Amino acid sequence: MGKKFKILVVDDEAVTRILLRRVNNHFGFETVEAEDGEEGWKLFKETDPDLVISDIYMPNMNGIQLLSNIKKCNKNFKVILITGYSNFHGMLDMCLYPPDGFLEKPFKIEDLGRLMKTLAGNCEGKD
Amino acid sequence: MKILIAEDELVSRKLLTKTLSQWGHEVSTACDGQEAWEMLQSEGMHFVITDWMMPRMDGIELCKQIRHQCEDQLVYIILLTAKNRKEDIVLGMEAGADDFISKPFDLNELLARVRAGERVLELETRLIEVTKLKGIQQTSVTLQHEINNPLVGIMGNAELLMMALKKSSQGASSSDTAKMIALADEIVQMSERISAVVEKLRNLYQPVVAHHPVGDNLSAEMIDLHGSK
Repeated sequence: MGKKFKILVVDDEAVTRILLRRVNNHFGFETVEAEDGEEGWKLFKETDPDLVISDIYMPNMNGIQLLSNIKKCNKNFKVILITGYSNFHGMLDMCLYPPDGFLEKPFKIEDLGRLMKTLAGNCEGKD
Repeated sequence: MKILIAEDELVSRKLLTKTLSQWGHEVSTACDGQEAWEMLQSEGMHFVITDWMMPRMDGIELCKQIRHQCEDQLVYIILLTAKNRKEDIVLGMEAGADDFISKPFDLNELLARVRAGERVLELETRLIEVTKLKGIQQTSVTLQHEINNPLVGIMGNAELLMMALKKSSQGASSSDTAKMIALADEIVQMSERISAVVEKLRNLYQPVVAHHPVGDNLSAEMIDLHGSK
């Protein structure tokens, strides 16, 4: 049996981290959790995840910075950004590295699940 | 615009009333500063043209009263006076007058100065509205963040519960499970409704306030989310 698809969840809100862990369990994915961008970046390098789901507003390093660090490392790596502020959508297009998925809180598990499965499918051929 | 004239001289008072009324203003008159002060408190006007020398309370005293007692009320004051030495102008400005008109006054000058005052009042009113709107927007963004985060938990967990119930009831159709699925679905729908309200609040740029009567002479002020833009 192959190794489980691993998702790094980065959010300073415990509520979201716990929920995402449950969602990942539901879809059969493994979860690694980080409480801010800095920890997320550290765990990204240490745990070799397959996908990152990150909040935007966080202490130490925000989600946009984390996204940019990851993409500089591997531009094909898939990152989903989530946020509690809904004024981000237009701004993300202007980012040097746009995210592969974007969801506003509160999001529907159905939508997140669909997005994760699509990106997981795209990741299957990763080296 | 409502204008209050405080002038003890009958001829001057009548001339001002007639002129300003002809220009479309709604004019109220007081025969001295004391009467003007009382009218201002009861009627809440925003534009005062006052003479300097008057019995009971003079124009300088009226200016001081307005500035000290009506800090929250926008009042534009034009001091009407025969005194036009520099010291007098400084004294009047320090008492709280916004502008001067020398007696005997020229009608065109009066019109120009009233218009200038109107512009200042309009700008101040707009500034207050912008500040209020900014406050509402800041509150809304904070609300959005603080509410959306716990909503993620409520909505997401209800959805997970629904999925688990559907999975466990596969094949066997229990009415209890169906009820529980319906309840979880209701939690999701209500969460979406809360989220939509917060989103609407955040996008307000022209809030309309609705007054809801809650008893005799009492009403609750609320932002009309459907009527606002």
